[in-house]
Amino acid sequence: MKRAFYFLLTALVILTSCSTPKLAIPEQFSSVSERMHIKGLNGWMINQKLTFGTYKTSKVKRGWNTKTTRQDKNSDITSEERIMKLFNVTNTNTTSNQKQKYQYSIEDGKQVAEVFCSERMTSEELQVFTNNRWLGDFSQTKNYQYSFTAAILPMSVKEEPWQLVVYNNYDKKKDTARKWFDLPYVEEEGMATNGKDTIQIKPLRVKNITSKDGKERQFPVKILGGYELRLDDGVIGVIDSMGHALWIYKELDEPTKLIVASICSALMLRKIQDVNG
Amino acid sequence: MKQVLIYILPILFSASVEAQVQKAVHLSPQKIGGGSLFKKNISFADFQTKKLRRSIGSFFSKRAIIPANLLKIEGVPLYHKEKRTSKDYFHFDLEQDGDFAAYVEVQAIMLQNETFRLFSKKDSSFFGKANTDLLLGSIQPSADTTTWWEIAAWNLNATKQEAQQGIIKQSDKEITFEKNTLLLRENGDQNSIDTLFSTLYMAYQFRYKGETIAAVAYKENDRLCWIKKGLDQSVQTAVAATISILRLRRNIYK
Repeated sequence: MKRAFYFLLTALVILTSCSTPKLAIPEQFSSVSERMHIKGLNGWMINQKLTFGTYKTSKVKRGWNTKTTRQDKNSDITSEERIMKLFNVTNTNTTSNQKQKYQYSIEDGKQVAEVFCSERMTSEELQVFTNNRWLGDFSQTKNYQYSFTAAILPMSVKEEPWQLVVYNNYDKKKDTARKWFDLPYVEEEGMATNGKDTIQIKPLRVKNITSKDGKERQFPVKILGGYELRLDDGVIGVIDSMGHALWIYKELDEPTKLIVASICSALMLRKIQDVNG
Repeated sequence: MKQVLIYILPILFSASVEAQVQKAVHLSPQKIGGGSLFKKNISFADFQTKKLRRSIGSFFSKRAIIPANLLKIEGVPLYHKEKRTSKDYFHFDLEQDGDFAAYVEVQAIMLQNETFRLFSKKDSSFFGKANTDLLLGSIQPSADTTTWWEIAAWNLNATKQEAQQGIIKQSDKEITFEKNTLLLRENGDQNSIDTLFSTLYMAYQFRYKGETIAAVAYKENDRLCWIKKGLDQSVQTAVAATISILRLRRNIYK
């Protein structure tokens, strides 16, 4: 219910402002980086291609987006379930699995990389049937595990393959959110590595955004605005998922820029959204 | 009133513990076959269970009749005490590559003791604190029938807000297992690109000498287990037997 509220609130703020919000990038980083607007994220999704800056992807080949739901006997017993059992309220535990795979290649005219991606979301819900027309039936998320993983294979003899992982893990029993505007406690982490170098991928949850007219606005709650990419403790890129843009550090070498562009395109092409995202 | 209480009471009962995803991408994944209504025995990697037998008592539970449970106003209980005993006794043979590897015997017991009082502070027993949830077992390897592995696990039915964990012990060897969220590989086929993919799973994580040596998916739908290659034969048998126990056990919380 809380998440539904956040969703409605976010949608309302976006709709009333009537402009595409963007991530507010600090001057220190924007002055030394290049902004590339990502085209191809909206509209017709068949034969989808992305272009940004000098980078362009091939047609994105997608597998089936499958979702299965079934009851699961291996489930933690919550206090809610104990109470419902006492009050003879019908409830069931269901586990749903959603998966999708896609692949494409990305190039900048000189270098090419093949990108293979896989997304998976498993969530366990408590479904309650109140048999009351005013209250209706409702469900509550007990836990979910969202993981996005990709293999980036640069088509160069010298380059090692990169593995990318971004995940979110939520467990209601470990949630620290108590107040109305508290965000649920979600453990989230991301990284890409080739065994030698590691790029840390940190989700950016922001309140301040920049509207199309350049004015700074504030959301009542923090929302996922994008991702910050760090290499050797220095920021090398920022993915603005609201403004559909990639900010990339100008001084990076070309092979690393290609990896950053691959990470950005792989993340932006996801279809199974995490609950907070 | 009944519906209002359903909404209000859960707000009072919540605990916060720090979470931590563990990474175990070095383990090779194995599919688990069987374990269905028509094929009770399971198979994974080189292992398979045979002659799975369950006692008749495992299908029933014993419940105390408590007259105070009748105290209700318009279906709202003023007091409710649940005292119930359930058990799950089973045994099976574990085979490796068609050869007998171990005989496994398991006794799981669940003593439910939960009390609810509408007009007084909920005591810890309502949260399952007073429940006894224990699984004991023995693994008798064919290679050395004189030295058995002993298993003890608690809270596997997850009725308490505590860790779901256990220990497997043989003289100086000690393997522990605990339910965790793990980052694990999806596919072990070296010829497939999927071998580079890692995914989050809720799983029992097995640790031996401070290292993660195996895992088995907690969810019924995720029919996977992960075992480290090159394990000591005795440890491998103990882990495979425990993986079988965790997949074959029944949830006995009624």
